[in-house]
Amino acid sequence: MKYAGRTPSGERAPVVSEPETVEELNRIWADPKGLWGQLTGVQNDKIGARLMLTGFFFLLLGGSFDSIVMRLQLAVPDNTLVSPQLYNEMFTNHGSVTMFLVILPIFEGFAILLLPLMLGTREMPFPRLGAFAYWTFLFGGLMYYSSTLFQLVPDAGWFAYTPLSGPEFSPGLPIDFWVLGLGVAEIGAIAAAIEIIIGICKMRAPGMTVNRMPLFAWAMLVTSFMILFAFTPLIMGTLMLELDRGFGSQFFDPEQGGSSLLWQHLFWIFGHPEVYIQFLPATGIVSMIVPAFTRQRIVGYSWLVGATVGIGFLAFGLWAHHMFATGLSPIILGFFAAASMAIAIPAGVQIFAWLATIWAGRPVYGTPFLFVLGFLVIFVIGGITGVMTAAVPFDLQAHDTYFIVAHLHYVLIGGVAFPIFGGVYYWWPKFTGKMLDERLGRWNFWLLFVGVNVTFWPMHRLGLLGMPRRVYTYESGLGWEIPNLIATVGVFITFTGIGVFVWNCIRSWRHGETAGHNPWGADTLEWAVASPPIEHGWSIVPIVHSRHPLWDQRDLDHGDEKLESFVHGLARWPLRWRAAVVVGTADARPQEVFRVSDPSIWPLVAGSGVALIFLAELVKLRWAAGIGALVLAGAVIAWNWPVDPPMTDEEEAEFEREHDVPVNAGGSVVIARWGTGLGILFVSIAFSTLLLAYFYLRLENPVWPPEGVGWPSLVPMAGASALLVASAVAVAVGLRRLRDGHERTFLVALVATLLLALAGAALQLSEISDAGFGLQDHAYGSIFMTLTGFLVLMFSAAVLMIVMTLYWTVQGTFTGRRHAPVTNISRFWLAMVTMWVIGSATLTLGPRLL
Amino acid sequence: MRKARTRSTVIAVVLGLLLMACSLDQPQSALDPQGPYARDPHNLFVVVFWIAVAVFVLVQGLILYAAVKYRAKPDDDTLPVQVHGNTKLEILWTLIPALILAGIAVPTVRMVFELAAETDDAVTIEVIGHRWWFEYRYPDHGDIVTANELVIPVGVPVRLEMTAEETGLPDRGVLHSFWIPKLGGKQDLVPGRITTLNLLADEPGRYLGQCAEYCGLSHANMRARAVALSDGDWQAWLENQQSPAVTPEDGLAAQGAELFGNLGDRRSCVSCHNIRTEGGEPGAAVGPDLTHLMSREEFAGAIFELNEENLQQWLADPPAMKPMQPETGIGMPDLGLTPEEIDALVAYLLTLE
Repeated sequence: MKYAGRTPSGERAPVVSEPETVEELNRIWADPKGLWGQLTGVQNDKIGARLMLTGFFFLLLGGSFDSIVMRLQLAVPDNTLVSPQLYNEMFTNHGSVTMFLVILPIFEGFAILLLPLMLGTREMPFPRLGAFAYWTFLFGGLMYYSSTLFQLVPDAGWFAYTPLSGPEFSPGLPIDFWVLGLGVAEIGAIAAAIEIIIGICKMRAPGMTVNRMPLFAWAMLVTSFMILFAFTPLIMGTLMLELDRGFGSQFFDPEQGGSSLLWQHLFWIFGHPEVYIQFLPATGIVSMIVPAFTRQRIVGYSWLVGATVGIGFLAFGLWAHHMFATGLSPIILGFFAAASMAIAIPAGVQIFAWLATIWAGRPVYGTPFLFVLGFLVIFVIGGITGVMTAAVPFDLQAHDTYFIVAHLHYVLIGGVAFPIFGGVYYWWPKFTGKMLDERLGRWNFWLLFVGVNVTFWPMHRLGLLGMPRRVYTYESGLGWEIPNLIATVGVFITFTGIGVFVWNCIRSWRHGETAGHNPWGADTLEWAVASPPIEHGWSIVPIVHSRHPLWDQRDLDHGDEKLESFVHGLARWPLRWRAAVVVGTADARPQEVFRVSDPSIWPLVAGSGVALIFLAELVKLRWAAGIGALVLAGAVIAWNWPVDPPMTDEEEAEFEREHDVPVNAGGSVVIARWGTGLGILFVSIAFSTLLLAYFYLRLENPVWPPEGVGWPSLVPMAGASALLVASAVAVAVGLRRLRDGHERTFLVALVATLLLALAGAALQLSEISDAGFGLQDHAYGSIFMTLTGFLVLMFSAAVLMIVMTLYWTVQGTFTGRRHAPVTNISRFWLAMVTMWVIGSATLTLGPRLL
Repeated sequence: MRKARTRSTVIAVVLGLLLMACSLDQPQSALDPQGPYARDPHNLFVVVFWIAVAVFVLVQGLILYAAVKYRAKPDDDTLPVQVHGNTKLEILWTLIPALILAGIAVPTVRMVFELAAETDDAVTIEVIGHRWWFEYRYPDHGDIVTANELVIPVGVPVRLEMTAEETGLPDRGVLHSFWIPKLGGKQDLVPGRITTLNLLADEPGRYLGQCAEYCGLSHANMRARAVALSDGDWQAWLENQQSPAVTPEDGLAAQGAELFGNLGDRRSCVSCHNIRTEGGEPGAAVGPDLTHLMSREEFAGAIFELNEENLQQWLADPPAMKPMQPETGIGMPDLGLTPEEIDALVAYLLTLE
């Protein structure tokens, strides 16, 4: 390409220089070879690429085959190509797969693959968590897809609305495949999100302050937080659905005080942010491609960041616009209509910022840029129809019609798929070392562009002419024949385009043109390293002085003297373990050098444990769930088993003295703290979802608890909470003693903690076991017992942690200097006690106060 | 520049043509409102649509203009002046969309309230969604129960009170959504709740619609029709519906009436269907009420024309004509009727004017 290796001012863009230790570093960072290496490997390149490939594989399976058959069925009226049952299964599968198993893993894959290079660091913070995320995603996806093999395919739509998806109207296993298989995959999505958040916040090149972060990183940061806040309620919602289906609870059964709309709320609190979870990473990709191909620094960087964050927040205030027709009150409709329109403002800011960049630049029509232009055209159409549907009175006509099908495909194909294609064309050379063919790229683009418009444009009209979604056939004479036929033609053009893409990839893999470090003359760090990159990416960790380091810096290893000696020092030392740098969240000054975890089989085992728990429920062999839980607990303990640091305290101290940056060869302190914090956030969101469900059901039911059920007694519940609070105090005191070096008193405090907590839990549970109602009796019993069960689960996890801490303390693992895990475990304990107290207060006071 | 403008014009023209090309052979179109509850949303749509076209043309015009005008030319190596932003412009491109959106939001919210408002003189009709047909009850007019075709008076507002229910069990059912595009927007039917929808037809006529919330296997076959009658016809219709059915005294139809109540060891018709007769035992209210079956034009979720031939075919094997799940109690099973029984039953049904 014309500008390869050059900055916009025509100078040579910097590339990394490799020290003589590069071979040695490469050896340390390489995963083991062979099958064992594939199973134990944790490297971000491997995990990222796998996530993307698996996502693409699921796309071909679910996105493509289904859509072709569905379009053939609808090509003419009264068609009988497929049965209604099969058609319903297909649209359920098409939506579920693309929303859960394709776009999200592809973006998380992009992030895990790219971020360490782009941010100038050697790895993601928790490589084993990344591996765990992949395995759970894979197992969940396969579990979901296996329904096809057993002819038990879910058929309640990707939204699985109750009561249709409930035990009464969808008996048998199909919906369980949906709930449980996707449940496993969702856990993977959350794990990867936590990994990505910490990676972006804490693992960047020295000098890459927050306002120098590439926009892709910003987008992934916001997205990952959104995943945490959106997928967790979904997991709790699907848990409640499975309890209804498998255990006879009554959450969604109106006859027993449940509410079918509760499911819709829980689903769309996830479902709407999910749209932006898919869209924001795409905007990140666009913001990376635009500067490189217009030879112009992005215009309005801080506006783009603000828009991204703004969308992240607003996205959680719109969910009810999927429920305009459910009979909400006009005030609520008005609020959600206005909020839904408001999100067009930040989206508009993004569009204009890209437009201004193109305006001020000199666009070069490489294939990635073509896809960006296609994105701008198609996405703007989707955005505009989105604003139209936010106008409630019109939406009551458009809702659940083909107008919406058109709208959402314009958004998701234009707004998401086009940037993904652009991103693949853009970064493919980096990871394969070979260029994709530009001429085929053009064919790829134009076929997709034309195909998508031919397929989906007529659907706007179909919707306005009254054609609802999810119908397997339609009668003639309604004016729907011609638009349907055109749409069916379009789908074939689209898939020809995808075929060209696949061919282009295969062709490039076999004999593509060599790429070089920086084929596009781009501005961000990843283009300074070799293509494909070495195992650890950066031998000499770069020092960043600019938002566009490759355009503004002559080299990447110069800065103030101290920093310079630090990054060069890190290239030579330590050569025994995988060392990475943690930086300050905002100022990006080195905070810590820590040992990144090695390859391990335990993430795979832990993932299998999770899958086994869900599988046991699926096949109704519930005892096997116990085995799954044991496997999971065992694997997590083994995975986090404290290892003897591969280096003495003196060696660590020596590097510390020289560079003023603490070294933790035993594992990171900072990163572990963040991990604990986000883990606690995750369980708090899950807990809050249950509280929300409690109060929603409370407000739905004028009589609460139902007739004949007594109020939970105050005294035992309050007493139990008091005992748990006392246990939290004991942990805190013990931790302080440990920090002062008193390991014996720490042990005593831990034992006291356990005794207090067990006494408290026993008191509360004995009170509840006399309650005289159960999970199955009514919605009150369902939410009461589920909330209690959740607290017991958190309690058990926390107790297990304390028990392991006791064991490790007796073994002498923790000292005044090394006690990070203890600190984190006590934080979790504190969080558990807080949830326990709030949860018990809700259960006890809920009937009294409202 | 000229290219960009030509293209924008072409797009605008195509958009306009597609929209205006609504004619009479589009009986389920939302673009052809036939009453105020459909006309208001449509007017809002038209305004929003033209704003949308203007925004689209402007934004796309700018993008294409910039992308074409400033493209890097092969022989030109000059480089763009690097800019970082322009605060005035940035504020402008945030404010203008915000104002446009506010301009749409205000009438939207106002219309939401207007459309939901209760009117004093409205006729109340209960709509109950079953898998896979709509049932209507007329609480203001005695015990009229009908199916598939919602008969309403012209020029009088109708307030639908809707819920979803399965086989006569309160609070148990799946979601549906009632929608007659030419008369108004759609509203979901939720088990355990009552939702409301206002409709008003300006002219007598037959307005088509269908269920818009996925409700399982035969969702596509759950159609709704609204029949608006002029005042005289409406009164006559009410009178006819209120009167009980007359049981034929003799002939094939009388045999059919007999069979309707008793099919020997097979499930009888009355175990699911009611035909209200003078002093007769009422049938169960599981399937559609057949008291005045022949006053309707269509049956089975309004997917088949109501005539002798179709009824015969239907009775011979209902699930073969319309996908249903009789094995789980949803929809009419194949009762294994003999051709003679079918003839008699159809003869009876045809008398139910």
